[in-house]
Amino acid sequence: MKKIWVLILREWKNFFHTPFAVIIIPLYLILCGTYFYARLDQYMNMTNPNETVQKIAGLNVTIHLLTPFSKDLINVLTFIIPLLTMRSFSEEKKMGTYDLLVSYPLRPGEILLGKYLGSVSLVLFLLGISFIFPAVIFWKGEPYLPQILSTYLGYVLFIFFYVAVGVVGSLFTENQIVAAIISYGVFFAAIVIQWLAYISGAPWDRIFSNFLLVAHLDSFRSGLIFVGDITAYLCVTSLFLLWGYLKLKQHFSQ
Amino acid sequence: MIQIQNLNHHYGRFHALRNINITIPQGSIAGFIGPNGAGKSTLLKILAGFLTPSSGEVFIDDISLSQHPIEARKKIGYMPETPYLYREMRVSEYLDFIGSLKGLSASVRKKEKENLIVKCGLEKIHRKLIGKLSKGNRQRVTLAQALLGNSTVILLDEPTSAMDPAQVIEIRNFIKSLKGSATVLMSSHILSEVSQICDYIIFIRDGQIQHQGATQSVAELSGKTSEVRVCFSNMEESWIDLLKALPGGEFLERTGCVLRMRIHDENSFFPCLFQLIVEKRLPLREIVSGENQLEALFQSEVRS
Repeated sequence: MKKIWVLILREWKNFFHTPFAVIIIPLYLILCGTYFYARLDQYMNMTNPNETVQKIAGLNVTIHLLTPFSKDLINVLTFIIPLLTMRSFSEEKKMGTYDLLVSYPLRPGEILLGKYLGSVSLVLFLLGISFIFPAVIFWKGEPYLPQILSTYLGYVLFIFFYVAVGVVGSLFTENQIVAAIISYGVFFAAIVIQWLAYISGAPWDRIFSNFLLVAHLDSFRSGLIFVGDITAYLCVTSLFLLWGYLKLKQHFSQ
Repeated sequence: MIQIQNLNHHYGRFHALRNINITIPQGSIAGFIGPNGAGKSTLLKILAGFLTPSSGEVFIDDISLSQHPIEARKKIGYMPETPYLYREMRVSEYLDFIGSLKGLSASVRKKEKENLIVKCGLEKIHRKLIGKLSKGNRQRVTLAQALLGNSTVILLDEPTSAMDPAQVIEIRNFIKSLKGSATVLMSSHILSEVSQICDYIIFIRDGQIQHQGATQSVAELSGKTSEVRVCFSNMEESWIDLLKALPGGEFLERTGCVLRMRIHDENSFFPCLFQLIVEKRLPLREIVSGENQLEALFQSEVRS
């Protein structure tokens, strides 16, 4: 566990010691801020006194402002996460430090978890920053806290999954761009399978529709937590981590 | 001790290492020589745990590398040919990080780090960013990380390739000082370096071991003996008898103030020669080395 912690700290130091943090954090904040401003503006237009009374009566700050913003947030995370995870193993391979890393007395699981949890914690840090937007609404309005928390729980699970895709993808190449493309590719493949769900009949439509893991976030956004959704994320995350573990284990046994 | 038994390695269809069997005695310094593409780096990478052999077994101090990879790795210190380091870290911070990965406690880490900073000549650069160091200095840092954790088996891939002459002498002396305390396996293209430092030689070609054994016995396989020319500013007849009597050497001829000698045993010849020069205050101008036995062997093997 101590060695995993050392690797997590290294990921953090590496992130903040390189110009990467200077690019990623402002980019993330600009994108989130822009989306939030657009959603807030839309909401303010809806609450305009000139609008019809019926329309105003049904307005809810959680449903009409924070839920649309949370959908934007997942798009931003989908864009940002591969940029963060593409470096984890690819950079080590390109610099040559990967050779040394696997020569130290570290178990393959320790190396993988150190890298994975390092990236997960960085993305959770970014997600944490985004909490500033609901916090602003708390200051001026009365959003429904359990729904916001269930949304964030879904996002944490999504981050577990998507970071696993990125970190394991970076194990297969020393080119960081290729590593990022692998992550985007997995996400795009899931969307293609979702399209297949629309054009195929039963029972394939239900099977295919489960492949788009972003779709599982809908229930979390509605404030509903289903064991099936949690299991789906944890299963796919474990599957990718197992793949990465087997890849790393090649250095340790015949 | 390093024991390699029936080791084979394939890169796809290419048979890179063929039935390698090596036993390097505990505490000895072994030199690993061979032409480019012979399989030296592949074998070092297998010993370091980066590559898994296609078949065969490696034992590090009697611990199987495939059965107990973590225990075996604890005993290994690996210095790759190119100094691969985290460029954004400072030298001291990097050694601390590697010490943590090797599982050293904070107090042991601090003590070993301070010790290695002095031994590897990193005093002036230990606060500097690795990315700003010269290649030679980065190579010293790579050597320091290999020695961290009291490794008993040290693998050095071309350890002095990017260093300046002063650094090379320092590092060679340092490697020599490891004799007895650690088993060292170093690959090098500098054959004079290998014959100076190593007491055991492994010659590899086309993925197969051609010769292995004590340095002197392998060198003698060339069928040649080393020669030196000892040049003095002036020469007295009485000195020639003294020089002829030196152990490990054989007088061949005298041309003016230059003596040509054949060396049978470097380890006894040179210390006695230098002792004689100092005691009798002989006006030595230079000692010119002739063809190295190991170089002759290398040439004949490569040509064949």
